[in-house]
Amino acid sequence: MPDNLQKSPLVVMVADADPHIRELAGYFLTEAGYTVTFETDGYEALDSARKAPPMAILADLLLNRLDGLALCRLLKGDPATEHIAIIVFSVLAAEERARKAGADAFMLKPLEKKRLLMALEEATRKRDMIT
Amino acid sequence: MSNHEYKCISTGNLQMDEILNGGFPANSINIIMGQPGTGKTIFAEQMLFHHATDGGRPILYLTTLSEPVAKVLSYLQRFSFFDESKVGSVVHYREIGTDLAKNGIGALLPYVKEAIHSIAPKIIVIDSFKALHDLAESPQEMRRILYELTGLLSSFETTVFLVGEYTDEHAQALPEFAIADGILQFLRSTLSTRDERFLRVLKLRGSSYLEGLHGCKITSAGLEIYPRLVTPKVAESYVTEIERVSSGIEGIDKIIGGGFLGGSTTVVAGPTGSGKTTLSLQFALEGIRQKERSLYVNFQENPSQLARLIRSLGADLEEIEAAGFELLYVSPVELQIDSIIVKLFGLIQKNNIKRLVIDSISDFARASSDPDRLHDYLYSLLQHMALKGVTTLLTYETVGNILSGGRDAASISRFSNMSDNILLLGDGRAPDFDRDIRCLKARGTQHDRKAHQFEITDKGIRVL
Repeated sequence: MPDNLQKSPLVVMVADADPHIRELAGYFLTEAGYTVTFETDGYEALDSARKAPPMAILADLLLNRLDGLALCRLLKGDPATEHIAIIVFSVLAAEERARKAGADAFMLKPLEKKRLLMALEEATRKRDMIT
Repeated sequence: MSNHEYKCISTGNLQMDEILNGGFPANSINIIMGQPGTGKTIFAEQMLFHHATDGGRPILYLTTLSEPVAKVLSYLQRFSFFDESKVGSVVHYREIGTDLAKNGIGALLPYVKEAIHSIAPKIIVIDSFKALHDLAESPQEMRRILYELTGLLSSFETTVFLVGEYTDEHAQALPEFAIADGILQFLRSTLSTRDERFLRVLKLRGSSYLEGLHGCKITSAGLEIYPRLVTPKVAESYVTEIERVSSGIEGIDKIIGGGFLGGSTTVVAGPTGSGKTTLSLQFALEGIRQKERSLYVNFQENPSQLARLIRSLGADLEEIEAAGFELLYVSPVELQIDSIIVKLFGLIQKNNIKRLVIDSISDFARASSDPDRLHDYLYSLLQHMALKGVTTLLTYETVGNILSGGRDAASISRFSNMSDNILLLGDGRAPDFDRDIRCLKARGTQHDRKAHQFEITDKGIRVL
């Protein structure tokens, strides 16, 4: 694994077009000790993840241009980014579709701190077992 | 197909949950509206104390420009649902009226955001939300703040209640009503010297709630709610039991073809003093003799007066109560049909009542502010009784001769639609008799249509 693609243990990317979701998720994750980056668009999230892979991505299923499921498939299908833990996050009860797309965890909106941190833990544990 | 589970949060009130089909949708934004004194704040407080559990997620109550927190709390302490130990630990009250008045309604957002960060409340109440309109510089500003606020509240896992003194006109015009997932309205009407309280659900997304007006009452335990009685789904196809039920009066049994059909409803109509209560009591007492439990609902004679009447028929109230006779007395001054129906229904179910007397439905009619609603209520009640096989007798006080188109003719005709039998007691105006009885209708029975003379003796009514 190239140096620039090493796992970033405490970096979580929040990819969601909703500013309130970004703000709240950012607050909860920062408070829990993570470094948080933000994206509002699927292609931008893909690009950023390829350049500097975070430890985990919280991706809205309904992301603009490239949705959360497509983003998940692309990242999990690429050996350079397959190690990133992905949590698909949605108002839709789409856990089955998310798991099929390769998501390590699924979370229903709206946000709640405890559920968010548990989903993150589940996703990173899975990733650690694989890598 | 979606497998999305519809999650509800309970109101903490079984009857309200029944009306809402489980409760409010979790993570929704709801409006609780009503004029001052209708019970909306008590309802909201009762609900949040139900959810205030030690170790659980907190609850936030924001007061704007309605009442100071100290005043709200001092009155709340009178209710049994209030738990002082939860205030400050689980239920957090914050007064933001001064800040809103000074800095404008935009100050609301940082408060809510800060509360989400610091205590992550599972329920947020804003009381009064309507007061924000008074502080907004323009409708545009109010819309903008509302948009921001709902965006924030929808992104976080919390259920929100916006309480306000809204009217029907506000509900048509104000933007919060468009974004609300649920709208609950509290109403109050004055009938003579008595207030009647009602509530109704105006909107509840994704739920088949119970429509219409539901009675309610404020008690020391909080809000008591009486869901509207609805007609059972199988009502149209009910069949009265073939078994005959004796009226307790041999002559009447003969007139109506051998007794009432089990599960049927009979209206006993007549003027004051014509013998309606005596006939009804004989019917109920016959039930006790037949080992069938009887419920006697009375609005006129208090228990002492009724005990005297029962004694005059050769029975003792205490003895017959021990044998299954139940008396439900409600003063006509305090009569609210919603609460009576709920009580009555509870007793019938709990105690396996087989005979029911309501003496009289004229009192019901006088106590009701809405005759159509009363009619619907009685219709539903009687359909339920028919399905349960409860033989019911309703008395109705008439004025004048209804056979010659007196003023009660229309009412009797209306009750006729919902009853199986009608017995008319005269007051001596029939040409040859002091007292007379005739059967105007006996559904499904070849009955005697003639007027019969009767007398009231120390053993009750005797048909001559």
